[in-house]
Amino acid sequence: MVSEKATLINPQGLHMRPAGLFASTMGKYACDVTIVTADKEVNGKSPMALMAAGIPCGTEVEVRCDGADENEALAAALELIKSGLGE
Amino acid sequence: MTDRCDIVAVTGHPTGAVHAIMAKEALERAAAERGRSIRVEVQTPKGTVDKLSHDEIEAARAVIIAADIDVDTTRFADKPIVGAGISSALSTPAAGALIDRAWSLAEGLEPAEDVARDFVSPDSVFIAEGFGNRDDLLDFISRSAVALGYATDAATLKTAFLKREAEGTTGMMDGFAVPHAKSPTVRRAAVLVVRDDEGVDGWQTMDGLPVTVAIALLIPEGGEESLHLRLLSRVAEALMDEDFRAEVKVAGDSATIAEAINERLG
Repeated sequence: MVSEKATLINPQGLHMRPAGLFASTMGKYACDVTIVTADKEVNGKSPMALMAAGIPCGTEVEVRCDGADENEALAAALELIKSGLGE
Repeated sequence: MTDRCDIVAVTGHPTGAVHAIMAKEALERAAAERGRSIRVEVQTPKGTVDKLSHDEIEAARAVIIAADIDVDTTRFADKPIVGAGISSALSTPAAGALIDRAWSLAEGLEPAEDVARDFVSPDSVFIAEGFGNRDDLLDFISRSAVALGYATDAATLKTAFLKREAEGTTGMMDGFAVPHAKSPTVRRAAVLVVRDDEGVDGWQTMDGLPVTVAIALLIPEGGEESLHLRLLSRVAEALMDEDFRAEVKVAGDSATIAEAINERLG
């Protein structure tokens, strides 16, 4: 299992579009992906779960990847978050 | 410096001052009944009386135009505004109705402190069939939003919905879609729901099932930044619950659906 923290910079937080983008990108990897915040742990491959978490801009989240391609997945996840999730 | 007034108004009539003054007095009486302050400008064929100052307009929460003449409203640009013919302000009860409308618009534009209030009323839930395709459905939602007073211009609203769809479908799973539009034409945050048990064409969804329930979110520009996120996250959370989805799909009437959603949004 590998993990690292990153801060969400999207002005409107993790709403539908960035949530969908993140989930579909992570969906390509075999490992489990979990987004951890101060009060919840969310399945990073589920767009609905990510949206339901309603994570606002400025939140520092921990991305956890566990499985065969965990390193690649983590790298991709961090890259996405740091680049603003397409926004 | 003028005292701040809650409401500013303009009355006017093409043939004389009598009606305009009657309307002014009715508005003043109705405002007093409601504990609101009002300043009324009267436009007559001979000229304008008690013209509203820039400061007075700036300080007001809402604008009422009760006139049978064209009144230039560009000076009221960013204010909630209610316009009607002068006959709608000639009696105190009628003038009161205008004031109530203007005030509820003003209230609606205030940023909500909390998501906890009824976003869905049974009037905004439509159970029907034969909407055909996604664009027709969004067209219907846009026009309904205007009819219900949630937005000003249907075409602008529809464009906002479509623009959002172009960025990525809002079709989710199990027949649910969450179209949303953030636009200056939205007067107050609101939720409209359309259920078409036949299914709607041309709406891509994450699980491939056709859309049968569209939960449309209208978000005003400005106001609280996080409202958009909070509404969406609560709807998403509700949609993850199989019981909620079933409840909405089998509900026999609009009131049941409205209640089910409001419970989750509150």
